[in-house]
Amino acid sequence: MYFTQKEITPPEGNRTSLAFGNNNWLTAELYSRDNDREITDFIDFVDDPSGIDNTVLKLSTLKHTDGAIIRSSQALPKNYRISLKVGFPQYGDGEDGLNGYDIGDELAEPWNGHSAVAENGFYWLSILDSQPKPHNNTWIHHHRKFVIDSDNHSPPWMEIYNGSEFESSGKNPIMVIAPDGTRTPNIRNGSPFISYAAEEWQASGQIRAIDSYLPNEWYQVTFTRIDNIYTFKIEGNFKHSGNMTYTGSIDAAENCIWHYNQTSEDLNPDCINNNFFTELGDQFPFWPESSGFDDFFMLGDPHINYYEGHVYYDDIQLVELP
Amino acid sequence: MGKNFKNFVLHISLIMTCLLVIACKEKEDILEPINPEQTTPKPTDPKPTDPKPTDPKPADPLTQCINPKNTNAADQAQHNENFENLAINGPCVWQIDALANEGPFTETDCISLKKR
Repeated sequence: MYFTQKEITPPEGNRTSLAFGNNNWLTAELYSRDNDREITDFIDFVDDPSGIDNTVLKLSTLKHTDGAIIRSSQALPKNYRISLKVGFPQYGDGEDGLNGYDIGDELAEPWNGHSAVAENGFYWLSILDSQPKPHNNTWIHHHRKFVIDSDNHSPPWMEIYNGSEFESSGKNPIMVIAPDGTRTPNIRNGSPFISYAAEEWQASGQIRAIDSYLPNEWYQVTFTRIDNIYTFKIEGNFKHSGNMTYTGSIDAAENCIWHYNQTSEDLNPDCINNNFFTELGDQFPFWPESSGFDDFFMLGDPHINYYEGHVYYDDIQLVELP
Repeated sequence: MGKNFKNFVLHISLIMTCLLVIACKEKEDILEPINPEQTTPKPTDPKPTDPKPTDPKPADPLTQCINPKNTNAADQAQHNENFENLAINGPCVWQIDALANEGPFTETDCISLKKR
């Protein structure tokens, strides 16, 4: 509606939803503006890039206008734990230059006219408040409940903790983000971030990464939700701290993490926000009293106007907790 | 004697004809195909509950794009995928996109008014 009001004409494109896994518990969501693409351009089961005898999932977006994600087919249960391996990403490097793109003139059009080359990345694991599908970056940013992702960029607009201090950098950041639902979201980019870095949650709006990833490593990622407590854990070999386990928890209700409540009964009254974007009108309040938002997990590259490359995943597991 | 014999032959003929008709009818009943309408649920039959939009589709190797390579090995723990036994070997159908222009919120996905 927002972009339609702005008289932006969407590109012609194609998408597909492919359910798979035991009882079809996973779904691949793919998007392309082309008419002649093979499914294996986006999703494939390939040899483990580490060289061991193993088969893993490869998600690719060969063009920045492609989208390829894996999501939970159904909404997640009230309490759950998701774990997976993610690694060997080729989604840019945060250096000046092509940053993982083919040509260098790629644009984030038609929704904005910025260069797409300035940003390249992928989602390690994210929880969304709606059924995840490839969308423009604005839609994705407004639907994130929790994020572990990487955005390689230059010049840097964030800091990375190097084990002793924060340094300004956009090179291979591992960003752990709880979107701050107490503040007015930006209509283009969503809610301000509460970032986890240096063993604590940073002040809202500070964009700080926990460490940098190495491009030829596997990382074990776990996200647990019990009631309204979110807990993440990332294990692996990191650029600054070597072999390490990073973990942290946040009370999503107490901190009004964006749309954390799965039911209206779970909603902390302090989080209710009936404000709205004037461009959209009062039928779209930010966080009304009667709202409830399912959890879905998502990984890969959902942005159909940014990000180009590939990344590997393995051993995706979902456990329902009491 | 001639009249009695004719009556006897007539009775026998009638009985045989009746037996033949009955036998043929029974055979016809046995061979008669089942009326397909008899297997169709009546309009008043209750319909199964429509699945929610987010429900996974039933596994059907003939229509699924991504399938187990070896169905005997597919009986792994639920909600645990190691990708060892999957292949992209079914029909993979693309559909024309109608969602690309959405954002930041849409009429259907931003505010789900519900109480569980």
